Amino acid sequence: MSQEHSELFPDVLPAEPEKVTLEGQNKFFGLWFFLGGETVLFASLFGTYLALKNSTAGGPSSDELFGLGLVFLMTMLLLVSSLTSVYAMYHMRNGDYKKMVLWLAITGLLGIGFLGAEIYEFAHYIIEYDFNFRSSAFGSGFFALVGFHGGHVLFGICWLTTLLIRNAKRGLNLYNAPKFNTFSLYWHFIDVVWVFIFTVVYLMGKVG
Amino acid sequence: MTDQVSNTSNKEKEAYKRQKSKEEMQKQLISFSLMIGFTLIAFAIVATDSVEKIYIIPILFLMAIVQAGFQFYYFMHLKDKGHEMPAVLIFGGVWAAFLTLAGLIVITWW
Amino acid sequence: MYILILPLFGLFSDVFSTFSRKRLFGYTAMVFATMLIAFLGFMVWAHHMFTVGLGPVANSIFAVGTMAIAVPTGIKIFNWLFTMWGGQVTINSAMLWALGFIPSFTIGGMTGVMLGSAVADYQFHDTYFVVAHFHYVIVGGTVFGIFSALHYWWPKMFGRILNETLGKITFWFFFFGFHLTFFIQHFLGLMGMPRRYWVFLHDQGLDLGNVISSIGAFLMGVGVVVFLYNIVHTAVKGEKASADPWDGRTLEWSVSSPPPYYNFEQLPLVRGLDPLWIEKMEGDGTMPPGEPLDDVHMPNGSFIPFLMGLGFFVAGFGFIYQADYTWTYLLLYGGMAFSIGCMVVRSLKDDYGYHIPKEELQKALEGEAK
Repeated sequence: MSQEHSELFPDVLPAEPEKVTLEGQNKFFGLWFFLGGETVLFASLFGTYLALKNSTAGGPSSDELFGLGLVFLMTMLLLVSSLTSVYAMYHMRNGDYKKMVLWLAITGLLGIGFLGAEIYEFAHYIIEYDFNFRSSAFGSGFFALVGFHGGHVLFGICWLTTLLIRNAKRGLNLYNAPKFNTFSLYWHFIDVVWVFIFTVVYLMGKVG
Repeated sequence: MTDQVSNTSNKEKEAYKRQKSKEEMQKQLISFSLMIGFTLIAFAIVATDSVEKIYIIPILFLMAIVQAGFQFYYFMHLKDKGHEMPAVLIFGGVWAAFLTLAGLIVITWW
Repeated sequence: MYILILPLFGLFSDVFSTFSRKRLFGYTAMVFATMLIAFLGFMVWAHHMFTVGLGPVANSIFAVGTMAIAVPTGIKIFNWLFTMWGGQVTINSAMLWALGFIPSFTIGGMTGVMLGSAVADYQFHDTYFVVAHFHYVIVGGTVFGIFSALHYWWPKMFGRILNETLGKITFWFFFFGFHLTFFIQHFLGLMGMPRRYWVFLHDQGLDLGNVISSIGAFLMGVGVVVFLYNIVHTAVKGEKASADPWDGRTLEWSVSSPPPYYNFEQLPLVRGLDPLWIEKMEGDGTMPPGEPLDDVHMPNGSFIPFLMGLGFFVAGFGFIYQADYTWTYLLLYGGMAFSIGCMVVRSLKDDYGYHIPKEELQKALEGEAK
């Protein structure tokens, strides 16, 4: 088997190992296609949130609810994790597998940190403020949008974990390089969505 | 002899490749620090209440768009060659997103 | 709606040009119209809810957008008519469905513009007029298109040609049944019969119309039964299809029926639109190869995607019923876990695909030459 597919395991990796094979190009294209669709999906969630933002049904408003400190921490975690995945791709292009894995692991840890903060935040709202998915239209819009983003982060972490475990002992080759690259693109996109969430939901929610 | 020639040229290629990605990395670091800067400004504006209300939302929104641009063009390499189709897909998505937002906002405003 | 019809618009373009033995009239305009329909189709969803109180501005925007779609659709209808104009038209089952589509779909499009007018929609909304309209576009467009596609591509898919006589019987039963069923429903709607009721009141002047409608439905049923019989008949003793039973114009007719599992031994050299027709007119009638003969890389088949879909299907029921029945959380979490497990298996298993050796392809090519 490996004999037959020796073209996937060259001794020296080319400059862009993720785009050499047809499979890699397809993965790359397919992921961007997916991201185009995700843009629309999140736009509809943002639209719904903006439309329902003031329908609090007597519950807490966005201004009363949100605290900037935790959101700032989450933003920093996710922004830095975006940079660490850039570093991982930098080392992938240089063919340095160990450093790539290291930076990806850091990316994953930062993602877990972000997710932990978000779970704490949600639990805080639900327990302290009795503000949940069903308490008001504002609650539905908020948890649908932010929760869906959190779900994406969770999915990304699971994705990264399986990738790292599966390829732990194999090193970099033309078969798995596209997989790391698509993950990194996905992760950046999650960060783009978060940029709009902290701007539109939290900061604008504070301003009113 | 020929082996040696190809060896040296391989090494040169390798060095060139590394040089290129190093330059790329510098650009990415600059865009990252700008993004952090924008984020700090955005949070500072809201936390200190130092800007008049009508200006805050456009400013915040503008900075978010610039940040998204950095992510797409530098971190996700949309500026590089061979990214025409991804750009079409993303801008198609952004356009549809704009329509969706406009539609929902039109429905709730009027 | 527009998503349903767009693929079949492509099919109709194929059928009309093949059976008129002419190239498609206004190809560029057709592509442009398709893009425009797809584009506009995304921004008219609120025309389903003119009466909910969106307000005059939103209603006007969506009304104008909806009516605008009639323009590219009209371009397509006229281009199909002009494709047939002066062509050598062959009328067989596939073409009959395509010909039946034009008037039926145009009626549906016209009532679509009527419904798209927000002012008039206050009268039409939730009546049988709407039912008549969307059956004219979905049955008269999409279902007719699916039947046309089945007759057109059956030989390519299964290697046997569907029986023509039975095909024509199907068409006439279905076509008359369809118009009998749904045309009268326009008037039932205008008389005030509401939709989404499983019985209607007697002696309101609606009885006759509904009887006619039911008769039409039975006729359509007869048509479909004849078609099902046709499938069995064809499978048992149908005529074996050649590679190119319709004297086709496009690439799929250059490979055997049914096509080999790798489709093309070598990628064909395409010299323009209707590539096979170009070769028939200017070349020797076969597609010249566009690349040297080499191993073909193929992906391995996999059953896992089906299992993923199954998991999500089960989880869907969990999502629907979790509010009422606690035990359905089992379906929700079980289904999702199963699907995600399938994804993990899928990504942990290396799948390099396989190669079809050059020699096998060479043999296939020699077989074709004989």
